[in-house]
Parts: sequence; structure tokens; C-alpha cells
Amino acid sequence: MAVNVQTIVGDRIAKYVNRLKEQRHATEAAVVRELVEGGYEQVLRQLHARYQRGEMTFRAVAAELGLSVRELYDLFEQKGLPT
Amino acid sequence: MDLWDATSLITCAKFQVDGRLVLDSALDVAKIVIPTEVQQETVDAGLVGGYPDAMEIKTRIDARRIEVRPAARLSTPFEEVLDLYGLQEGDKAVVRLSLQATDADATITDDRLLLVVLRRCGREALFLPDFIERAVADSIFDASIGMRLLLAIRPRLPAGFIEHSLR
Repeated sequence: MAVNVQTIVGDRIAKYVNRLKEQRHATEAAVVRELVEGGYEQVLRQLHARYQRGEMTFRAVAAELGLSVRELYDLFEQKGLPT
Repeated sequence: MDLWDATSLITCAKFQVDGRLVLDSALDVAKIVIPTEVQQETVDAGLVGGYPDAMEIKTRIDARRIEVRPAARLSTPFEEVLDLYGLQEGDKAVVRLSLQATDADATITDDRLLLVVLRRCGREALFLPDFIERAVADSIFDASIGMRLLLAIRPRLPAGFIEHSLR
């Protein structure tokens, strides 16, 4: 399920988006989407690392990401991250 | 009888050895009991998501090979301790049932923090590879089957866990 989100970004991020747009001949939406997905990936890997270190439970990671236990199991599997 | 947590159960319901689910090999070892919350996480949510492992678990619950039990809340001070650990409802249900099911030999989980909490509660807790090791030590599985079961679940376990059990 995809959702359409409108947001305002700061000046520095806007400059970075513009640079990437020109560099890659991509749309603004594609560049922003890539940045958001990159940020999500980073959050996911940080939470996974905390889970692996025993700092939080699997269910706490799922709750943090707004996912069910089964959805998180699937996401970890897709990313090649162990449970 | 062993009490099982959600992720270990899902892993066993996904992987096979010689066309037989690892879950059925686990059921050869001891009866499996899960809290109601784990049924909701693995079966109810799993069926909604269309995961085949959810149906495998449901089939075995319907056949009464896996028992689902409710877990009652513990004393308020103890519940507060579980909150301090950051445990979620499903985690707490596993701890509660582990403390209340006096017929449980061990709790099987892949969750490091949950394992620590269970052990600090004085309960026996095993990672899934240790459960298989225990079954080999108890001569329920021969070493060859144990090794194949460990290799089957390897994709879902952190590096080192399976290698440790194999040595």
C-alpha cells in the first residue's frame, strides 16, 4: 500500500534534492522517496542491531516500526536479517 | 511440554527436512504450548497476511497437537518490572505463562532479551538450536537428523548460533 505524502523540507535538504535530481535526471518525487527509504532502512538496521544485542525484544522492534510480529519476521527475512 | 515463543514457532513452521516440517519434528520431542497472544501473532495475523506457516500452525492447533493457553496477569510490582524491560504484551504473555505453567520444561525463544528475563525469573529458556541440541542429547533425534534440522533453520538464525550447535 503506497501513500501520497506532502512535506516541506529544509534548505539544506532541498539543495541536496536538487543536486541529485540534476545528477540523476530523476524527478523530485523519486529523489525524496529514495531519501525516505534510505532513512527507513537505516532505522530498521539500527533497531535490528539493538534487538540482536538484547537491548529490546522482537516485539518492541515491531511496535517501533508499526508492524505486526509476522510482518516484521517477513521484513527481516526479505532483508536477510536473522531473527 | 515446552512453551514456545512466536518467532521460533514461525521458523519451525516454514522450514522442512525431507519434505517434513521442522515443526513436526519439534512436536516429536514434546507437546507445544503457546499463549493466546502468540496464537494471535502467528495464526490470526499470519492468515490475514496470507503466510502459509500460519495455516500450518493452525492445523496443528486444530488437531490439538499445539495447545493454546491464556496467561493471567502477575502481581502489579512484577508487571511493573516487565514494563521496565520494555516488554510488549506478547512478551509478557510468554513470561506470565512460563511462570504459571508448572508442567513446562522450558520456553523456546530466539529473543535475546526475553531469554534473559525468563532466566532471571528462574525459568529454563532455550534458543531454538539449543532445543534441537537437547533433543539429540536426550536421544530423541539422532545426530544426523539434529544436524539437518539445524541446517534447515540456519537462514533465520544469527551467525554463530548454528555453527556453535554443530560443534
